[in-house]
Amino acid sequence: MSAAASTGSYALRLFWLAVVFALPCLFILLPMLAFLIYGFWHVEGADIVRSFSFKSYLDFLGNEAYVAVFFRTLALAAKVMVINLVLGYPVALFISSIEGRMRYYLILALIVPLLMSYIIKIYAMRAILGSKGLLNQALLFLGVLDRPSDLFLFNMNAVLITMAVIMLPFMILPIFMALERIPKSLTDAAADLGATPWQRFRDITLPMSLPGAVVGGMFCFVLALGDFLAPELVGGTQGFTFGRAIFSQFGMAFNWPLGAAMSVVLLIVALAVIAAAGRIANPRWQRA
Amino acid sequence: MTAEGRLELIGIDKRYGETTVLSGIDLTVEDGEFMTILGPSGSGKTTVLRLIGGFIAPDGGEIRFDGQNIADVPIHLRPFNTVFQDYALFPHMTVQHNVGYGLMVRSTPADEIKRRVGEALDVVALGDLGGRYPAQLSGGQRQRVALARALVCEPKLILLDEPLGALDAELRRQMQTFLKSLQRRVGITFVFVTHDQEEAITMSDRISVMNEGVIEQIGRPDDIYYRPESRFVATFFGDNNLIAGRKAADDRIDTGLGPIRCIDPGLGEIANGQALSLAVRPESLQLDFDVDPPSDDLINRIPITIQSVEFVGSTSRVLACPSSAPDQPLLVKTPSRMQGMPFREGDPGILTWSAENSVVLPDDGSSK
Repeated sequence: MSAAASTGSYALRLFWLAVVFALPCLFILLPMLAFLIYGFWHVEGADIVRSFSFKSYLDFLGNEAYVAVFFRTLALAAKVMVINLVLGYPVALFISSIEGRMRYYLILALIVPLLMSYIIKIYAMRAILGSKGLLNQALLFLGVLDRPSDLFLFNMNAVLITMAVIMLPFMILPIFMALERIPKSLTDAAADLGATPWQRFRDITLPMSLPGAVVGGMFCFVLALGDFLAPELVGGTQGFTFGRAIFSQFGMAFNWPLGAAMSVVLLIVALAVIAAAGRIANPRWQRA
Repeated sequence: MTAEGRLELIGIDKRYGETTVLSGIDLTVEDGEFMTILGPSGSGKTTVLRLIGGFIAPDGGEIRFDGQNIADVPIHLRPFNTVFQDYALFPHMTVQHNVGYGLMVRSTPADEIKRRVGEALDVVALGDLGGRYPAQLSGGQRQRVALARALVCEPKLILLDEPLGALDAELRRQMQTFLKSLQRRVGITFVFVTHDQEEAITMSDRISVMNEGVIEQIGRPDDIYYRPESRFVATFFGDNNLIAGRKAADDRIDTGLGPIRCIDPGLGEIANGQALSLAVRPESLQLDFDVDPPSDDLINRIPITIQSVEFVGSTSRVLACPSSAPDQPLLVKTPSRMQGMPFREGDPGILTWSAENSVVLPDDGSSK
């Protein structure tokens, strides 16, 4: 009887699991599966040939321009990651070091932009980076520039700056959370054992917050890698990225199989980065 | 006596905002002493330890070591090491690196670190676990790593913040014996914080009892146990009977139980007629069933009725109601017997104790 009851509850659990996962499967996994299939089709003339082949993948690999854009985008994502690591770590450290109400205001200031529309944020950046924008005005005021520069908009710099600024919270928050999880008694213990403030940071705070930095870096890298909106809106003709290349296959070029194949390549790189980050962010001493 | 190795706290005050955590703490710990700071939670004992260690600064008073004020010496330059309540082992370092950390940050040569870490791990019997991470150790092992990490720095003073609190009873007793013998062997001064009075009594050379931010009494364990100076100390250490009364004459006290004789030098300082309390340990009380008249007037005799008998193992706890004050039962501890106790609830008897076996506590106005 109890066996029957447990089988019943097992079936019930399975049912609820199916209900819970039905929507994500329908709207995330199925489209991805569709892309996977599309990637193995190819285009001849204006028609999609629905038979299995690696032609679309070979088309991508054989197109020097696309491969160059692919590596340039990897470099862009890496730059966004490094810039945000350098900018974000000190901010996270600062927020976790202050006490009282102020820290929550600062955290809120990081979270609020995450709730805003991505496009609005990009347009805001466009206004800041333009030749009459805040950045140029400030540089003119400080005497760094004699006349407004066009270096900040409609090129790769613009894409880099825009992505870095918009994705900074994704770097700061995981680092902040990792810092918060370090018990105060550990830095106390290090001090007690004779460590100077710098040694405490180097030996305790930094290595123990590294998993957070890895997660933040992964967020920035993966988000920058696949983004096509920011390059589209602030990149101009120079700021051409892999995301835009894919986008164009679905639009102007109307080569869905090639676009799908390129998407799958992007997905594999992103998954590899996530897997690597997962390994680094979960070191041996934590798994023990 | 020289000031070498002596730790002195002089008039220490500590406040957090409006709350006074410590007021007027005076405490001297001699070189090589095992000093226990004992008190209930919230009494300020850990705050005292953190002040000595340099984690926090006092609002008033002086901390001296070797005769010099060390209040301004930053934490990492004090020759003291702490064993933390949660051990505070570095989770991302192996046992070896944890223990060697204090040497590493002082730029000790690598081969010397290796040798001294090995020695320290041998002292705490963890010689072969050096390669493990803290998460792979049991609670008792972590505790010993924390101890080795402090010992290896050869500090002048080791501060221990309830280090046995997280261990189970059996391991706790083993560690008590181990800590005590270790302290004897290495000769380092230990300042040990605990709320466990049994632990304090068995391990310490001296105990300072804290309550609500002040030190109530400092003394040897037997002094603290048998000669408490305040009601708090009398009741915090094990069971005690407190009998309220007034001084009648030199060694006579009028109480609700009738006149009682008490031989205690402290009684000389109290004026006749003044209110006081008498503390008698339950094991100092004796139950008798013959009703012979007193042969020795240094023995107090009180007729009682047995209210309850509770078997708790090697001893039995008997509540005895004095005939003159049935609402103030006295607790008696008497050795248990295999054959059962020769008395039962409701039996009449006589409670006796020697006039030398009680102490007088001045009435400090606080009710029990």
